[in-house]
Amino acid sequence: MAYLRVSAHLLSPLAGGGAPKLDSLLECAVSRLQGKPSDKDGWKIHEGTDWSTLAEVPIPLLRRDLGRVDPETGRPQWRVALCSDPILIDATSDGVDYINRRLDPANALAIDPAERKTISTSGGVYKSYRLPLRRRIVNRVDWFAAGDRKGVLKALKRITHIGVKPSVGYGEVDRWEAIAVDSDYSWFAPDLEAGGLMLMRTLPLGPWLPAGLSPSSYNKDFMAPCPPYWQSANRTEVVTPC
Amino acid sequence: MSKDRSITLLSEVMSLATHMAGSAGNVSLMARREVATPDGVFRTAWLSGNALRHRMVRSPGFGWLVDRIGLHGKLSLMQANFLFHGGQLVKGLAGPSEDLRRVADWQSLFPLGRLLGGCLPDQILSGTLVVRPGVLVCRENARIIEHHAGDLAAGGRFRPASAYESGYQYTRGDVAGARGSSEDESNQMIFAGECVIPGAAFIHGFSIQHAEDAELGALLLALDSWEAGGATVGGMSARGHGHLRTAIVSGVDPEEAEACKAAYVAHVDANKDACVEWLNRTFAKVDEKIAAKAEKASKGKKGKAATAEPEPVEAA
Repeated sequence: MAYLRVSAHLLSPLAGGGAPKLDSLLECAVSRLQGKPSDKDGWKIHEGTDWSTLAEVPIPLLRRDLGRVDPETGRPQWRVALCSDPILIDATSDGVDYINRRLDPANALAIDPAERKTISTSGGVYKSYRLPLRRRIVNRVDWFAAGDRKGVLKALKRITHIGVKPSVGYGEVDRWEAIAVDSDYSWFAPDLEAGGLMLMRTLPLGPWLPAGLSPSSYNKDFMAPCPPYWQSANRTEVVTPC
Repeated sequence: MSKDRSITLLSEVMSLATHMAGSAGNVSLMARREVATPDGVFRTAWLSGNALRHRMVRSPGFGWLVDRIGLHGKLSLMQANFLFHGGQLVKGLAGPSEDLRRVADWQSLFPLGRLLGGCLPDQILSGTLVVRPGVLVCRENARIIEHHAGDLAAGGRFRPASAYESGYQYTRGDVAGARGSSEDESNQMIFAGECVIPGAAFIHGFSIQHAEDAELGALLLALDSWEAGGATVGGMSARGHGHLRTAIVSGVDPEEAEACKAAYVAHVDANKDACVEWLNRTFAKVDEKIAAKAEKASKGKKGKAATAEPEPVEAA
């Protein structure tokens, strides 16, 4: 195990609000490497999934337990990976692209004659759209982490794109890099301007936050502090870096 | 056996390429994208991934499939919207459940569908194909070209993007209006725009994770159909714009390509009836849901109307 700076060098603009968290990327990559059980056709994890029945995805990062421990399952409230939130390096050209869609009448002959009718393209099912998509040129995305360098690189090799709309080429990764650093900057790092410590990742509010945390380095919010970040049951009061 | 694929293509522009994005006055502007270089940020012409995904893969690929399974002229509007345009969710139909059997059948019956994904009126089906946008082969994009086609980049120096940009101008006349007008009342309109000139080239490509042979074959057959249909991108193809000559630079060799295409054709022929059955069954269920929703809505309206205008009560 080592303290790392993991970097994604990007070839194409990053779309959407920002880059993903490193632990969620690794869970995705490791899940793909593991494949699926031979006795199942497939499955989908959703809001109603009972998490106590699922095994933890073994990512090559250290995790720390926070919060109360469930007496029945023995699981802690949160198992938070030692990795920082993403840091966008040299982000420029903040702008908007558009994703367009319209029903192309060129395929009208493929439709059954009884179905060839006048349809509205200004509303309803066949509505045309031109949706704005925020995109930025980002030279590099960095995460500070603590974990197994080889394991991290092996898993991330399979991640070819990050951010939203990878299907049309946004967020393409040129190469992944993991460099050893001298200290652990995954959750907190020295605040060289204000003194004390600055927050580096989203963490639940609680006694584990150090007393010397610089108030200018975080905001309070309400979201999931660990994967799956989309699950509403996971949400709690948190502090996020700013 | 499935494996990850990364295919790189080089498309030479054979006629003016007019993949546009917006206008300034009556001049259409070329779609451009910023690229960061050591000398600063530049804007170069590009072909968007969304446009390539539809024009090169989805439309020709499903056009071929619909012909092959004998559904040409028999599709419902919703089926056509789903296959040719990716479909759309319908408000109120998507519930909290996921029909995994339906997804599994879709993925096994339609290799092209597994690549592209889609959106049924009540369920989203994810795809595995990543389409890399067309990057102009020019000095500003050297780093990207080197990444995807190192051999090409090693060939020498590139010219700047501005060397490949030019413009076009046409005149449009209103024939019906011109009949009654005299010569000094000209109703002709000049319209113009920017374009990429013939001789320029774009690097683009596809990435697929866990690609089966039939899926790769579906992609390559779609590209063949696109080539046979004129091989155009962007607008004004009716005027001859946007014709490309495309070659595979890396990712699949010709022998393997032919074998994969044959595997896909065999798969489609073997599952023809099952494909038609899947489409009809799926959309029949959707029609049932829509009818039930409409009935519920009409009952609700009647209920509301009854509340708003109660029956008069006769005095005892």
